[in-house]
Amino acid sequence: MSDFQELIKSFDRIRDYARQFFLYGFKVRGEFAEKSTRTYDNERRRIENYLAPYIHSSRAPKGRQVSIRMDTGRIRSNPLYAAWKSKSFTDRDLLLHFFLLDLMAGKEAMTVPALCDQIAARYGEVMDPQVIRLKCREYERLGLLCSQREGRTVAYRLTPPLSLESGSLCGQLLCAVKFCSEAAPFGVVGSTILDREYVSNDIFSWKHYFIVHTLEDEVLLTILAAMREKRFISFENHSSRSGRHTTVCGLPLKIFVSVQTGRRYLCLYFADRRRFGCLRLDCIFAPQPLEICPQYDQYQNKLARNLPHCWGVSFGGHSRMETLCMKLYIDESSEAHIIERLKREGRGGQVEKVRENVFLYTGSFFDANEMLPWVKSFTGRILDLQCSNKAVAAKVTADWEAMYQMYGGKDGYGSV
Amino acid sequence: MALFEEIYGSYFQAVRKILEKAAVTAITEKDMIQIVRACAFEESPSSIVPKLIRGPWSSLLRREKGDAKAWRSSLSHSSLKTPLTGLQKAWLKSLLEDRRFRLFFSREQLDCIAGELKETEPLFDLSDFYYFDRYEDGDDYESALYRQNFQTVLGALTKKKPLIAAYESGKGNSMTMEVLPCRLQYSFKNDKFRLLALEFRHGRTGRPVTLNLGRIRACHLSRRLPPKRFAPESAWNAGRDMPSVQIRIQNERNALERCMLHFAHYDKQTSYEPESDTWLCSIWYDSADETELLIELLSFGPVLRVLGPEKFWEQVQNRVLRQHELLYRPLEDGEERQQPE
Repeated sequence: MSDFQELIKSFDRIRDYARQFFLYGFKVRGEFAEKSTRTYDNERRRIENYLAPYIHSSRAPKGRQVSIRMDTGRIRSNPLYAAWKSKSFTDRDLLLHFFLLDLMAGKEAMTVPALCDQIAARYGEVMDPQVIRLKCREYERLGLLCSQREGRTVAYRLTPPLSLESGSLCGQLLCAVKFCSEAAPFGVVGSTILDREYVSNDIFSWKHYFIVHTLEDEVLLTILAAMREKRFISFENHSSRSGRHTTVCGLPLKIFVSVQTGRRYLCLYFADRRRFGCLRLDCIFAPQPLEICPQYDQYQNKLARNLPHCWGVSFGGHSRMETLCMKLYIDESSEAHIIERLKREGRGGQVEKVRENVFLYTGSFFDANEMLPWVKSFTGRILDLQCSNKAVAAKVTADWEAMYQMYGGKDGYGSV
Repeated sequence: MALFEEIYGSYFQAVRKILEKAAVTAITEKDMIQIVRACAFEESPSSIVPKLIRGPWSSLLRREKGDAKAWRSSLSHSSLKTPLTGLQKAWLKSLLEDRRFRLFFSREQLDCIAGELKETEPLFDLSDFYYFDRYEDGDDYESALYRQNFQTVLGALTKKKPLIAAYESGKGNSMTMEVLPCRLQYSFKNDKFRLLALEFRHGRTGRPVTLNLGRIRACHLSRRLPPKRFAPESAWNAGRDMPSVQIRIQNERNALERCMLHFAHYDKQTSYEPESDTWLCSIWYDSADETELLIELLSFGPVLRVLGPEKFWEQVQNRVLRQHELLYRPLEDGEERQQPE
């Protein structure tokens, strides 16, 4: 592996491996079947380099398994941000970056020929003016430089700092950035602001923090840009269950985020089927903006009317709404917090007292099947459960029966 | 705009720090290696330092006169901080609509930030996101009392000062306590802030306590000094009990993937057992969150089996047996099974 490089050209290269190592952590080289073993070795080594303190490696019968392990309650900032800070560059990119910052720190605008002369005179590097011109244009696009034109001559200077960067607000702003660099969408951008100031989060800690979302941020940025312009998009969907790759076209409308199950979805309107649908962001690759949809706002409004009837991400089948009723035993004197739980987690369902210590939850949604994990979290309290979709009630009853066999059978504790 | 740009990269950050340090003092190869280790990745020193000393980046440094093993920056300036990029400004602009971001500032300060960013388009709009399973009783970020308490707690954390708080517990009991703030914890699921602190009585630290910011009725900084060498993070972590639970995941209903995603925020270790075509998984958790983990495990139903420890297993068993008993008990007089519409 003499040609091993820590840095990479494309983020997609690392995205899938980082996700697999972090989420699963038990797969060995042979199970990454889509890529060659050499690719696996290189990507594994890169991830080991980026995330050294969190890497665990162990021997399994089929080979070495690598995992990224951490309790996100103990981390200060998302370790996966390291992957965003690994883009490769040329020697000239790096030299020019520091030469330009140094030469332009004097605040006077400089033309490309002047920059070229100064680089040769001060640092002894001879550079093609065209290369410098392209770099200046690139930095102007990034917002680092601004240009001014006098006749046919273009001069560049550093973009002036915001006045709040040096005022009394600066400390407060950085404190807020410490929080938002983890808690807001595209937190990695905040992390680059903290890097710029050589500071890191020393105030906040996190609970229920799904750090893996950051790996989808590049895809998300393209999708949000299409949404802003009210465009259709097409993308590759890599199904995590079947492994099938398909091309999907639709109108992107909203990002559905689950703070409990660690998933984010793109909600689209599919004009051909005349239906809304959600696809997981981590399964979306190579999104491409297409034509503008003149009725975009109309579909947004339609979605808004539908949202109160979604329990999760399903818009149901062609049937009408499904109603689920659940009667629970809750000791009012000592378990008021359970009643509160029903209200805050019930997503608009009604909670009413039937009689002393017995409460009824009633909710109507497109797809009652999605409610079942929540229903099962009340295992041990449910006096009765009915659903207009009989299959849903039958499924949960069968699950409880299976669990009864699992925990209530004669085997007892210790059976595996 | 792109997120993946070399100017945000760890290599640029490491070289920047080396050059800034070498602008004020001569530095050695060892100094450079230390800086690169702190700023970049495991194998970065062997890529960056030789290029700076004798390779294609060596025009950025010059040897110190009279010392062949020390270098100084060839650049004239000691600060190489880049201006904020368009991406960074756009991200800040998006935050102005975030109620949590607004907690850090007064209205006038927010107007000032908005004014500075008036030419910038936001990177995203909060309404682009729909948090469908976030709890509905999150903190009231608009309340004047909450905002005032948030600022005071933040002040105590940044100044590392003890805090005196009038607090109402979950059961409605009022109390006043002095605490040493360690961390301000944010829960994405609950949309709540909690202050993780240590009890502080007569100048001595006590057990860890967690205060919901929404239940602080009043608070102010204490005049007492914190203990010398007080390290908030390690002090809090030292007080945490982190047991583990072992589970077996069946190869059905996509249980493995659901499970791995759902428990991704816990420290966990998983291995495949080919004989049974199942996965064994250990999950480490904060003992204060045991009930929460228990109901999360129950929500998976029979595709997931808790193996131990025994006390945890017994809690699962109790709930499952109780559920069986509730469902198959005879109905009481006058009681009817509820029928949906």
